[in-house]
Amino acid sequence: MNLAKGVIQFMLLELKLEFRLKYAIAALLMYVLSTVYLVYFSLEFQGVREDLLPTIWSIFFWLIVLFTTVNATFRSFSKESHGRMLFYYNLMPARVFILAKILVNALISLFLSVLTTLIFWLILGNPSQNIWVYFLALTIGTVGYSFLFTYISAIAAKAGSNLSLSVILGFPLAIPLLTIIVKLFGEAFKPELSLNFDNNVWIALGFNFIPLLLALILFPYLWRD
Amino acid sequence: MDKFLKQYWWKFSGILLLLFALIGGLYVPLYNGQEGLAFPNLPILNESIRNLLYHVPMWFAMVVLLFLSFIYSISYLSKPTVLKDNYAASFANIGVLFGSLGILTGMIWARSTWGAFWTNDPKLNGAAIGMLIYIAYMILRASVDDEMKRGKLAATYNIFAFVIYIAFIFVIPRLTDSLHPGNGGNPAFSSYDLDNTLRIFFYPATLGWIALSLWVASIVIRANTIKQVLEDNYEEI
Repeated sequence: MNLAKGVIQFMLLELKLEFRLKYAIAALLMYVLSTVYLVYFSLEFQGVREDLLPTIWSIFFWLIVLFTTVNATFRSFSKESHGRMLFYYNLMPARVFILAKILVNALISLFLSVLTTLIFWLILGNPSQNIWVYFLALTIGTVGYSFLFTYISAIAAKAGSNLSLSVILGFPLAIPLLTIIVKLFGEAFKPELSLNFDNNVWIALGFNFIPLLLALILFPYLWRD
Repeated sequence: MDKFLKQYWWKFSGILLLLFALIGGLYVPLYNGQEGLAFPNLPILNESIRNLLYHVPMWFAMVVLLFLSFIYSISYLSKPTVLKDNYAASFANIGVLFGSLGILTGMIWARSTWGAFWTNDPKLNGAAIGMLIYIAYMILRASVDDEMKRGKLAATYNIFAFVIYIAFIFVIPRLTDSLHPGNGGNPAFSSYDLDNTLRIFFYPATLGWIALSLWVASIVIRANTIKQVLEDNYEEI
């Protein structure tokens, strides 16, 4: 009970800080907007935007979501100064800290990916046929990414605050989740669900759960200096 | 483990087993109705069935080494010493070496049986991702200077990565069909196919390759230990 209370309080603090520093969220929004525009123009000038295949649509979409998530989660550790980390270290147990960070990152990433969806629908059209499956896959995928990358960012931040290190360490580990999510996401573009849809949802949830559990177990060791 | 790695008996028996398996594996003919020892003569596979003695045991050796690396990373977190970090890193490095050899032998084999060096097969993708993960592990190690910090970061990443990787290679092949023998109706050396002649050579080969990989790893560990001692003494001078 105490743990939950601590986590919620720290989450609220993090979110408040996030809203106070509006430029940070604005920078991420800008990042999403400009990459979607990049995709839009490259498709437009190839003359394929009109009859864009759903597969291509979803590949672009997931790449942008992946990079946005990496950026969003990496910021959550790189923005903290050494002094502030020390302060947090004395203030709360490591598990409260990482759990709150993970959940805040999941919320922010989810917000950004829903926003990416809206921008995609606006300028590239909406080829999806099953909106529930679309948002289910989107939620599982984004939340899973942010679980994974929050922990990876914690490692990368300890190793010297380098975004490219976070990408190098995280992308190979993101591929397992990506393969399943792309499979799930593809179902949203078909009129009917395939037979092993439920099974795939459980596997994807499992791949969300594993990084979360490992992060909770391992972070206390990582935090100690 | 420390003592075990210094002993000689398993190294030499491993080499003997390996010699027996590899020489015998090339010498035994395929089954053509003749008497005596013979390997099964399966369609598609033909003579390439002998790759079972190289490719598959190399993967086993890789998994054993990566598992040992994982164990040493856990033990490092509970009680950090430089030696444990050295063990974890060396096992991972040699594991990647054997994994690469496994990929190479598999690729040469795939060229002659499937007609291409690389196919979109779940096991191949799993192998490629495994290599990427452990190369990332090495990059992480190289990017941190401080010894204790490097050990800690590398250990936490190693544990994190190994669990996800194992989950992946166990789950993914069940999602799609594989071209590998035994999956999706391909001729296989499954329980009834892996006949007794092949077994005589396959088990020694497995033990032999694992012993060889451990031997290489033990040499690397000793070299690293010597290097560290020299560096420490150099600083004192």
